[in-house]
Amino acid sequence: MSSRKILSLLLVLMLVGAMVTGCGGEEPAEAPEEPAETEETAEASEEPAEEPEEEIDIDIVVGFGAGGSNDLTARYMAEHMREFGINANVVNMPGGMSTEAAYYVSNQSTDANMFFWGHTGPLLFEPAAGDRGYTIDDFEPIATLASPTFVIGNRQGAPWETLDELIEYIQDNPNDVTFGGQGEGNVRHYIVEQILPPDELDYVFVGLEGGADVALNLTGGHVDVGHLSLAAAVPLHQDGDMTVMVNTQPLTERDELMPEVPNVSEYGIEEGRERHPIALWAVKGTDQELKDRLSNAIREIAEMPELQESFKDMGVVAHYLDADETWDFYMDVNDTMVPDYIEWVEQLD
Amino acid sequence: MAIDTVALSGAVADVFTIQTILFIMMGIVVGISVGAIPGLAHSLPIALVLPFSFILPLAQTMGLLIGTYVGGTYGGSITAIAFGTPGTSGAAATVADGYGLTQMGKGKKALQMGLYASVLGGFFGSFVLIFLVVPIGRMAPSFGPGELTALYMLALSLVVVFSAENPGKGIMSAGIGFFLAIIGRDIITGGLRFTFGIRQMQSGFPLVPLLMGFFALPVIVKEIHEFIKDPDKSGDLGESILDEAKKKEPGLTIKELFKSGKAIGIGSVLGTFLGALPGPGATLASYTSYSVYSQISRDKNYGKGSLDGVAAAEAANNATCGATFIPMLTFGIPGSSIAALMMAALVMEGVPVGPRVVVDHTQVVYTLFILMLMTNPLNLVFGWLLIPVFTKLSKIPAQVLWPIIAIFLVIGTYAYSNMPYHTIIAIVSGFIGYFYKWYKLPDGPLILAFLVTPLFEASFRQALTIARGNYLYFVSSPISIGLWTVTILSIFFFLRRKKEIIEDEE
Repeated sequence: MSSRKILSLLLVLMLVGAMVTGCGGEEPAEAPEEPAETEETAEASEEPAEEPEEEIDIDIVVGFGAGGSNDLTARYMAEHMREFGINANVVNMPGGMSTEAAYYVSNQSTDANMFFWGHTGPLLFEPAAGDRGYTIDDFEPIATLASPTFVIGNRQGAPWETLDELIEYIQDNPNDVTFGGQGEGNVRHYIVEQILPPDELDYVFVGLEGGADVALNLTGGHVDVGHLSLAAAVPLHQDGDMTVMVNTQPLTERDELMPEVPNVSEYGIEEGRERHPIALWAVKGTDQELKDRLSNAIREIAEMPELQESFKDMGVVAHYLDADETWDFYMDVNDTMVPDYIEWVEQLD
Repeated sequence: MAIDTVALSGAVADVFTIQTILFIMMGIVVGISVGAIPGLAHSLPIALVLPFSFILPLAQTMGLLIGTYVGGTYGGSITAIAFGTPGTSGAAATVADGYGLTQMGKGKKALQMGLYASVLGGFFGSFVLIFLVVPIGRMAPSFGPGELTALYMLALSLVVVFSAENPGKGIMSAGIGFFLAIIGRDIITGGLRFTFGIRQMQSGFPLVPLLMGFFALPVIVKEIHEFIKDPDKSGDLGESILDEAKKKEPGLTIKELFKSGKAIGIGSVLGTFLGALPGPGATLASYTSYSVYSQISRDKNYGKGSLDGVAAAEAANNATCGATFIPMLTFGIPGSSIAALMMAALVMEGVPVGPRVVVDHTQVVYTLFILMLMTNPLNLVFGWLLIPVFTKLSKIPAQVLWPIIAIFLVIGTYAYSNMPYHTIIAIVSGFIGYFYKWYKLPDGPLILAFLVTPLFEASFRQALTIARGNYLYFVSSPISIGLWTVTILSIFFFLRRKKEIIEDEE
């Protein structure tokens, strides 16, 4: 083979490498220099002749690997954003329970057009538990769109069917029930203990490695009760490998995917609702008009039947909160849940 | 499972279209190319092509994804063999023998063995997926924390095998692997360990940058150093041997392929078994197969430049491709990050994946089966076409080749998760790798310990919690008892064989 062919192949390989790096990377997209000239205001949108908005490129950084509910919700949102002239590139940056991604975005310049897709875990609970290099004050909310539903389910053949029966069973059979949760000492474990307080109920909690691990251990009968996402639980529930007892959705009581399953609040356990809906966050100081444009787009996306259907199939509630509502929601969690959580973590240590 | 002929014919009609075949081919080419770039994990291109599921029909999307997956899994072996730099973590076990063969002037044979073993392993995994998906899938949940503890203990016992020649060095190597593995967050409680106040260390020591730096940088530094020291003497890889023989580099013979049949068979079986379980993945599968076969192989060059070594490792890592679908199709539980991506693509195509997918979406399942079967021969064709190219690439002058590999390494480790920190980790790992080469420490114990420690630790602690501190839990199921028995027998067998070898030598 001639050296020319070899060099051509090398060039192709380098191009492939560069393309992959570029596509998956965080290359700052060019910010519109004069967005105000072309961007529609709320008043202008009511006028009959709308000028097409200038296209913009943004990066949405997801703190988990591709394929999970965090990633998929971002991808669905990004896909629909194109209809509003927003070319959103989803970048996966897994690590540190999403804190790596949050830290990375918090250090970007305000004109980098890079946004963080995250929930109260990395934005409130993690920084409260220790120095993660950033706090929620480094960010400004744009809008909330997705609230994944989590559930508590029991293994096939368990001698209880409802949460009340489970509690009664634990009271009658101390140290008999094994609960499989998603990790230990984290906010999900904290939520489980709000629902089943260990100082009142004698059971064993085992921290497994995630929803898939919980599902496998429930199916295999290695644990009796488990905490996992509704999306992971539904097919197993339908096939009789497990039974979903209760959901912990914070924004709606029932989830359309399994409307027969009651919310934990219906048992009078309000503090058992998992308050971590996913929102889009900008670096503090980001251009207000850009934030408004994104928020308006997300508001319309939340109303799209196609998106709602896709979210429903994933066990995610499509629920729009604007920037102020998102901030208020997070601050409420910060004021009401985080101090208790920190106390709980310290007591674990 | 009775065959649904209507669904099968629908699946055949979906797959055997020019568009679908083109997308499979595109996926394979992208997969092999990206897989061959050190550091670029093949999950990256799969994640990048995921958005196609919004616009393409299911067969084309899955053809593209599966092609990328299978091609990428094979592609990692190309640079492992040609340059001693694994393209993917799954190809790390191929480096010692593959690169050893290249340095002996047998790079073409090694590349061909890598390809044929990958394709045969891939076929085996695909057939098992098709015919045994339900029984094997139903077996996966039987592996709870107790059974997994026994399985990982079996894997850890392989450290003993790797440490055979010099137990002291082996233990030291494994110790470094243990230490690197426990850096970061406690996998159960989330507490921080050995982060030395460095924030990025909270995420731990990442596998891909570790492997890339560990294997590639010492080779790059050595080759560049040799070139600087004596530009005239520094030749191409294996060139001097070829020149002496005055003949064209020979390819793999049928006899050699058949001779390595046992290695391919063992690799395929182990790869399929470990691939079907959530957790182990291609890297552990290839290392396990490689080290298990080291106890069977009679090739004195095993570990230094043996076709058996390449065959055992490559068959295993490609056999995981089909097997990784098994827990997904039986329970809707993704057993690996790649399976999670495939599942995401199916969900985005409107196919809810779960235990009922085989019944409710039979045509989709058949489509996946046919796609898996089709990617292997196409992988063979494209791999076969690319082998002469990569054989020639290894003959590029050192002053051009090694800087280019170094650039790819930096690009790849950065692109792995877009973090500059990972490039630093690759460089630090390069120093560790150089230290290993300097003191002739075996790398197998480090890699095995690094891979297995977090899995073992998690399973062990979970099992102990579930058992309320009762250690008898670890031998409370037939699977656990079987695995502990195999562990004890294999260590006993190894020690006895070692004694026999020493006696023979005396």
